[in-house]
Amino acid sequence: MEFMVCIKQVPDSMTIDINPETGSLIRESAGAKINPYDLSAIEAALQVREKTGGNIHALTMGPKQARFAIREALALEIDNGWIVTDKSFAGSDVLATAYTLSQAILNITEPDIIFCGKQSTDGDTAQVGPEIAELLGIPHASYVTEINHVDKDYIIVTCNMGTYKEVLRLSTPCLVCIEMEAYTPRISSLRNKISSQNKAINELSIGNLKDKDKDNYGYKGSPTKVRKIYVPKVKRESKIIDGDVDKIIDELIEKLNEWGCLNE
Amino acid sequence: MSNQYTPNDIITVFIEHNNNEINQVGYELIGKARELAAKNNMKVFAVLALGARNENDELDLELLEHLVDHIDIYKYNDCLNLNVLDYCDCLKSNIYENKPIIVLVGATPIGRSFAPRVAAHFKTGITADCTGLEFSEEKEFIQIRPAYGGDVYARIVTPKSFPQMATVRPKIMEMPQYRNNNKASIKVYGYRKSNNEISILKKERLEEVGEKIEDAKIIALAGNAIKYKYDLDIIKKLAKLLHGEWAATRPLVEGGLASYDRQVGISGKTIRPDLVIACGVSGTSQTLSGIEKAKKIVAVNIDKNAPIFKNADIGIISDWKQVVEELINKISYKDAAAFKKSIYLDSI
Repeated sequence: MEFMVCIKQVPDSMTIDINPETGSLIRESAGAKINPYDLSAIEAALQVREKTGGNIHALTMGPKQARFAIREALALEIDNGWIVTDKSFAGSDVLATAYTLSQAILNITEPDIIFCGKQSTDGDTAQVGPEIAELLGIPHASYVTEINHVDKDYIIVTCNMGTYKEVLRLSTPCLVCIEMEAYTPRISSLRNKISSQNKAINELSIGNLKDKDKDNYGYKGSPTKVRKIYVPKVKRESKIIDGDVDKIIDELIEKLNEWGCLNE
Repeated sequence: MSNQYTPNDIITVFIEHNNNEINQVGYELIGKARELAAKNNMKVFAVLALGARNENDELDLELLEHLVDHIDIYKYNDCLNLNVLDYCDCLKSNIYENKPIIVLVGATPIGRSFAPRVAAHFKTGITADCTGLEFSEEKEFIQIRPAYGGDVYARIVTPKSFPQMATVRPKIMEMPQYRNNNKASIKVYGYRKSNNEISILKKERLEEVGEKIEDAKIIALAGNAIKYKYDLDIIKKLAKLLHGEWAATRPLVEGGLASYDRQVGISGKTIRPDLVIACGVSGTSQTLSGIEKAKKIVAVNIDKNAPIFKNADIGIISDWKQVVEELINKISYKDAAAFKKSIYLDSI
């Protein structure tokens, strides 16, 4: 069977600030890593492959340095690594990202199952997975906590929908968004890290995609636009109490009483 | 697609329901939609999808009828439980029918799963987990959400595509005003299942573990500084003493110390308690967006530059552990003293 995992490279611990003079955004990042949620998607794909056999492709969209995320995936014994990268992809929102990934998937293979992480740590939308499924015209399941059964024609999954859980049967091809707690990622061995260093990473650009119209990608292909980024205004008193711990606690208890929080 | 779409002055709210009860986030979205509509002479429509098991009279629509201008009901006679593709079909077909300018969906697990598909179908934008919605002076529909993992907020617009879609978490928006003399028109569409790609084999209510953090009046919030279980136990003790619940920020959930149902923040839950005591919480807007609706916030952190202090009513620059342990001691002592006094009074 053919499996596809979509992954994203995200900043490793990020600090964000706004330059008070120019109003421009200062993004400082220590480095980059695979989105932690996607590691669980990789793990789910590896566990399915252990049972069914087959090929796992890992795909990312991003600037050239996003290759490092694919390199990490290869060290986890993913079979084929792909990066879809092009200047015209810059400034993509959810739709443009999902569109680019769906176009790339069509170019690569006909996967039976596409695995996505629940969401990314830098975007937090959880929307790209469902949108890829819609654009490819296939069913999807979000919040998947277990892949119970995999067959050539269908899979059975368990989903956590907050107040209830559901067991679903999805016909293949399909897409699943994996809950992070459900599949604890394995650590790549040093041997695999070394042996994967020489594995080729396949590169796709807009020229490889079926739709070559630049207007459908990146900033131009994004229906949403960011008008402004700002630091939220503060409405609270911000009273600092300090000094001797004993005094601090007395003052705090007095306040809690005044607010009616210690009545019971 | 968007070229042929001439939007009407309608804000459509998708209404989710479970076990014959309308999910409260639906009412909250109507509250916001009403406010937006009133300023621009728009109408507010509600859309519902009903499985075969639901009779109209089982799901109480009376309150809804007083709140919106019109209700569209998609009634399936051939299936019991609806899946994400069914919800998509109903909302897509409703959007073709009414051509609303704005569509709002609750950011519940179901909403977050199906609404993006509808947006992709119309090649339009959808902003996830908005914390604010408003019209600008230029009448642009502004969707506000925390961005970049959460230290800043972004004002996002969908200038050229329709409908302009957004999801909003429960407990963010206020409940609407009841309008006694309003009576919505209702249209029922008989509907047939058009997909067989997803079947629901089993649906099981999950048992609720203790009090939910959304319902607690007081929350002791454990932040990044809490690294070990025995530290977390101190926070739990404080919560218990104050008759509240404890919650955690994202790093603790990612680190496995706390379960996801206790996570507050953009990727967790939004809470509106009377009091949050934030212990060792730095205060990224990832976290702040989850607690900003609290009536009062007390922050304890050793780092005087932690952003939480600017967002708290009271800030204590000190080691959280020392402060919390001392607070527990003093409250317990007072409780014990009051208890002794009450016994004494009872005995005489």
